[in-house]
Amino acid sequence: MQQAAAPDLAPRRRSYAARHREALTGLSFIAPAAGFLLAVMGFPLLYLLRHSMNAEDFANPAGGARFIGLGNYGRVLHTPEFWQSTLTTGKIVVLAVGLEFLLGLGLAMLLQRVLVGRRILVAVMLIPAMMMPIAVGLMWRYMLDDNYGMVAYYLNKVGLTGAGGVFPGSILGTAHTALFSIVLTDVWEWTPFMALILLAGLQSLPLEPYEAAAVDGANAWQEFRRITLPLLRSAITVALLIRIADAMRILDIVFSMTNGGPANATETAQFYTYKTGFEQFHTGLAFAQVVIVASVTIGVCALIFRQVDSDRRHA
Amino acid sequence: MTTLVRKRRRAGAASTVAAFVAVGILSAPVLWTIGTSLKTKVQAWALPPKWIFTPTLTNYHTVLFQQGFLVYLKNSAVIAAGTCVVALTLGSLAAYGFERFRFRGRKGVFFAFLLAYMLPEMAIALPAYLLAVQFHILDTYVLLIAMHATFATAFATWMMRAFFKEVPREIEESAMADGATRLGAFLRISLRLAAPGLAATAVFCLIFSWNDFPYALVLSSLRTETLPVAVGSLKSPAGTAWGGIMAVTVVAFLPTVIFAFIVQKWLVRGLTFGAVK
Repeated sequence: MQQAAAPDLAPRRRSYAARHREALTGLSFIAPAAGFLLAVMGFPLLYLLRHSMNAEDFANPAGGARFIGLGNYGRVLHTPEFWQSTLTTGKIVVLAVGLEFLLGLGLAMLLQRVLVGRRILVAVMLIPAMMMPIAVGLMWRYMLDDNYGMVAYYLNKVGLTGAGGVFPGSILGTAHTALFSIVLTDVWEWTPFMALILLAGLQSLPLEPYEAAAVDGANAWQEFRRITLPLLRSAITVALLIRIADAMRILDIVFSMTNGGPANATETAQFYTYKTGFEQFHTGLAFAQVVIVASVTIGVCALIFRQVDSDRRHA
Repeated sequence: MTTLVRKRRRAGAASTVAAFVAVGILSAPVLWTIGTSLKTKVQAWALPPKWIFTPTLTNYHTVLFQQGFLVYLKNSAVIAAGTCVVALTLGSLAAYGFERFRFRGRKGVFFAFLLAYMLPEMAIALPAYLLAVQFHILDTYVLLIAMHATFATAFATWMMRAFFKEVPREIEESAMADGATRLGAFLRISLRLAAPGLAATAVFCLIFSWNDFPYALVLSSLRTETLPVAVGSLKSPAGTAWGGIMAVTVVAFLPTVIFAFIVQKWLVRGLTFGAVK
């Protein structure tokens, strides 16, 4: 990239043959991986696109595999349950990633000021992000169990849940508390990770602006607002986008904590796809639905790519 | 400067205490889970919660030797190891190709690799299920390794590229001037110098495969059922043997936690595709 932009390199610009050779060598290194991904993902993806246009329904084989164009897409967009699962996913993404960011930023700033034991703290903080999400869900399901749960017990004690509490219903058996439980579980698993990314960003900040601010007598808030936040922007963007793309496909925690319930109050987009396709066997519909969801993911990925790529250029 | 330092130090003591408290609260669920796995049924149900008790390994014995969780452990380990080998081989070659050579379409292909990592799993798993039925490869190790190797290869490519970037080109060039081929220079020099990165990437691939639930849920069944699927099927009604379930949970996360300590230094970098060091 820099080579192309720097004019002083122009006399050394390589011949067409040399560039051709470079492209071929590069491609031959990439070919095995690209070929593999194309074979293992390409076929299923083509199958997905093609069959999302079929009236395919294993629950009703009489319908056959008739081609109906974009019919499934139309039907999906007119299914209230699809919109509900989209809304649920949206709520989880906004609440979870939002909380993770705020708490993570706070934790990162605390860690930056820590005098002793930072290595131990960081080591412990790595644990949640590495844990199997389905097991994390199960763990929290147990702790929030109305009858035996440790967390439920203390929430009850402080008057938040249980009989006479602010939320008297069953924690995982009531729509909004169940959804918020999923959010909290995700927040528990990913806040430390968010904090570690932001801490890495904080530690790479230059000292000079802070010295200048101290000379000018800036207070802590001004320092944070005018120096820290702007300098931290690219680390924040990367962290947020990655968490958003990841939270959008949330499935495991929902599966082990609420199984989409009560009723379908905590059904997320991927959970709904799984249920439609794999439990109810409306494959055509499930395919159309996942294509719609995947296209949103592609959009977010494009943003991540742009950010990561521009970081490389500035580095 | 001195005022700045003094200000920092005063804030430091309070921050240290606060950070330890915060991380302590954060780790309480993990401690509680480990604790419950060492409790008897009655202790696990006790209210108010028991924090001090005499531990027992009965739950581990029950789940591993009577409920057959050893089999799921084996399945998960085989699939994770296979995934790791495939992803490291394909991924480090591709990473080198992306890092060292310039050609048209490079960015587009690189973007496709990011998508391979980020697409909702069901977009691949559901059609793959129907294809696997037709080709009679459902419920085989090969199928699951191939599926896990997709996102793992994509991840390995992104991560290894960041590591190859730090290997000076000059060393490779001098080796090639001495008669080494491009592949030879890659294997003997770049890969060797990026060995710590390769090790970290390997650990990530193992963890990702080990933790995967969606692919395994759809594509594995009796013969290849992995640990996450077995864990996922433990959702049972109230009054369950939570001690046993928590023992399974500990068995599921302990290996990844140990691995996480090993790759500590590279964790943030790995999970942000090399964007944040």
